[in-house]
Amino acid sequence: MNSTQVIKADAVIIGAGPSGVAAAVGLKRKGISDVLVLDRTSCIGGVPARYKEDGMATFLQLPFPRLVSGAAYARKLEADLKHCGAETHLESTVLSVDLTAHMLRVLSPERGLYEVQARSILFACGAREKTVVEQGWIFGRRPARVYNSLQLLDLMRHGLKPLSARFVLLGSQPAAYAMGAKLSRSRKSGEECAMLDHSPRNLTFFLGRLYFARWARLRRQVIPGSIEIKGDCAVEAVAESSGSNPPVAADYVLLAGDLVPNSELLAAAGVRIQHPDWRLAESEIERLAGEGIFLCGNIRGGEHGAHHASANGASMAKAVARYLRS
Amino acid sequence: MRTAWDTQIPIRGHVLYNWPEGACEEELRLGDGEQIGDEVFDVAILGAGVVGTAIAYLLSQYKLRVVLIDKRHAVGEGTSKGNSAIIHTGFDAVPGSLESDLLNRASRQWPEYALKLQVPLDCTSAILVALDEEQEALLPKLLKKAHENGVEDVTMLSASQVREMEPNISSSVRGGLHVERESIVDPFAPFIACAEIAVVNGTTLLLGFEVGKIEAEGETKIISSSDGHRIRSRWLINAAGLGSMKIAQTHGGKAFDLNPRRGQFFVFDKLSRRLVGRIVLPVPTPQTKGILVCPTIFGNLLVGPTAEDLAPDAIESTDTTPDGLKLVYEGMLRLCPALKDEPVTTTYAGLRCNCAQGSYQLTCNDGMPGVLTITGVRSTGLTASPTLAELAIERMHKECGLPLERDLNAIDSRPVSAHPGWHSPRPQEDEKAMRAFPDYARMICHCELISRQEILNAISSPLQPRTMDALRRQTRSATGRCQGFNCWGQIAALLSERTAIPLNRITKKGPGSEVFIP
Repeated sequence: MNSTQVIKADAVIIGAGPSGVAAAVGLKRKGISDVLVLDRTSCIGGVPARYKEDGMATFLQLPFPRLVSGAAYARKLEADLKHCGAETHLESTVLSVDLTAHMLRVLSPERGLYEVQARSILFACGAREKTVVEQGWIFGRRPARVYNSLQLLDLMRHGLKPLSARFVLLGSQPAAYAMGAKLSRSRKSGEECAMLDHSPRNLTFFLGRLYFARWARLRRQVIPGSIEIKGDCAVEAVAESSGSNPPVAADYVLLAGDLVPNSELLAAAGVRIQHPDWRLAESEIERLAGEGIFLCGNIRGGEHGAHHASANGASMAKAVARYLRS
Repeated sequence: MRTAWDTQIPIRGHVLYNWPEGACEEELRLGDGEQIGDEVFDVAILGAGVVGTAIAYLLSQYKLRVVLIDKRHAVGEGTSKGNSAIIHTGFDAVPGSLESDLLNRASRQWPEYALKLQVPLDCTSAILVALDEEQEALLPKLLKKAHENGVEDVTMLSASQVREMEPNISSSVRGGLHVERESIVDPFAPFIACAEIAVVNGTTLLLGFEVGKIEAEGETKIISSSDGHRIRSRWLINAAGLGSMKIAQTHGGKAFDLNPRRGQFFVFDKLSRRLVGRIVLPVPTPQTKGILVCPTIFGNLLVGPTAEDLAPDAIESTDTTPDGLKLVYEGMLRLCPALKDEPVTTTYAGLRCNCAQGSYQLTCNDGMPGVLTITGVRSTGLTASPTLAELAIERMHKECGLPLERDLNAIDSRPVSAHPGWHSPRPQEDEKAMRAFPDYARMICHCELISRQEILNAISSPLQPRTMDALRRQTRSATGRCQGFNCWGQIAALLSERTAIPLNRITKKGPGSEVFIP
């Protein structure tokens, strides 16, 4: 282990999820030889790899459209990455980035503290779900069993099944429908699940709703004002602040799908980030591209599935290759 | 395995959880027997918050058998966890009051105290700013009051001086006061450190024990829990915060009235830290101290609090409300408009113990000989805790006959390795530690960069934290931007794996808060 070790690369990709893997494959295909992929977790696949606990097909795989499970999607990404021959460092956390020197400080159990210097840097760090507070319409207490999707998926991966519990889903993004379907399937009873939404518009298209309706019966209700989470120890109910409807009893509250880009490495490196959505302005993304710094996938913002992130990764690979050749 | 207490010091005390089978390891679980401990304890301290733990820390350095009792399942889980992490000088206390004296002496002790406890402390100083003519006129009075409180190092500032020191403060600033020794501190490390040292020195920490009644049997007090366990102790200190009223009633102590006063806060992202350098206070009104803006030791900014008086029984009401947070936001805009569009990491509400009969009430031989009741410890309690604990012990000695003989084997400080994992220098900067323990390089909490090894160290530290919230306070995991989106499930799984507690029995903060319905 040597803390002064410097690894050089033509392109370093931060994140081995759908967009990072697609970018790596694209770069290798364009003949870029030194491509290094870093991921802070111990497996390839990003978010799909966390959707491993059952076989439910919730990811759209392209270019030949096919619905696959998170596990299958992650396996495909792993195979693609291995096959393309890009060097991959797992459990490697990027501590900081120097955008002028094109230098990354990285920490991993295998290599200790080391540095990566690359001619181009691709941020493929994805996104996370908004917290209770970032949602802006949720107040009250912080009892147990109020979860984001990954928290619940991580618990379910360890064999826990929410058998006959009452769920309240907050938000109506596709991820919320997918979680509703997963939860309904693992339950004994086929009763309805409540879905409370702040947005009057359903954020999942009709086809998506139809698909997940095979498993879940969701009762969607639009709440124009704010809601409060109730419960001393664990969550007991979700109530409207206005008191206009009776509180909805709940054993679990689940927030799923409302995304915020993981742009904090860029923010720490001095890049201007817009708030409250943590996005970079398009002009800023363009300016950075001129300096060999690229963003691909969900870190660019918006509500997109893995197939979109993957397609974006592939197209950004072309831009990076052009930059490296110029 | 390396623990945070990687020293030669043996741990003489132990931690006991009154928890059903399976929710913690068998060796930490209080048995079914009625009687706890085979003999009589010398001192029982009720309440393991900032006050109770500070008393246990001092008492554990004498030849006394001490038991520190809390109804919750971690130290500091009551009002203490919601403190605003400021070490006050007491410049605006009521001159001549006990509070003023305790704060004045405590604030001078804190730098050394923090070093002993290995608690991060940063003397940022504070400025109190006047935003209109009326407030400006009050500044000389506040300065005089500070001097009367024995806080000499307070100086007047002109508007331009304030602007120079804090350029992002409201442009309507007309002047201010500079309070030099106001400091920020880790809000959780003080009670964790005090309890750890007490346990190392031989104190029994008994968690999940809710006091039902207290009876005298000769000189011995019998403390019964609501679920039928019993403890015998010769002396008793009631430091149960908002729970102190109910306890005092069971043994005929002096009557007093308590109610929770709620304060709601915003925690701003670390990116916003650049905007404010010190604690910024508004000029207090007779009704309220107002909304302040304050850096945290972790590098965030804290804005708040409200001051809402709640009903006496609302001791769990740590709700945030749209109206309360709106009030905080408006106060913040008046003081520091630059924070308008800055990203918020989280919000929370803390409770304070408000006593109708006045702050800082100490009653010796309260209803029974050998019983000390401490109540009305309000928002300044964290600052006052070291001198309040000294005073409590002195009065127990003088008025209740508590014998004080130093235990020469006792320690009064924590080893450097017990310093919170997130604080500099990080283990990740130590090549030797990383080579020996590669888990220091395995990050679990990516926002705050907390490694797997730091979580493991905390799990096996002297207090044996077994709830997710206790681990969070001790390691700072899951407290960053994503609020545990990425790491929370993994930490729960790790706690389960290390302790062999089934994952569905892991709790957020004790029974009833299981991560999964069992």
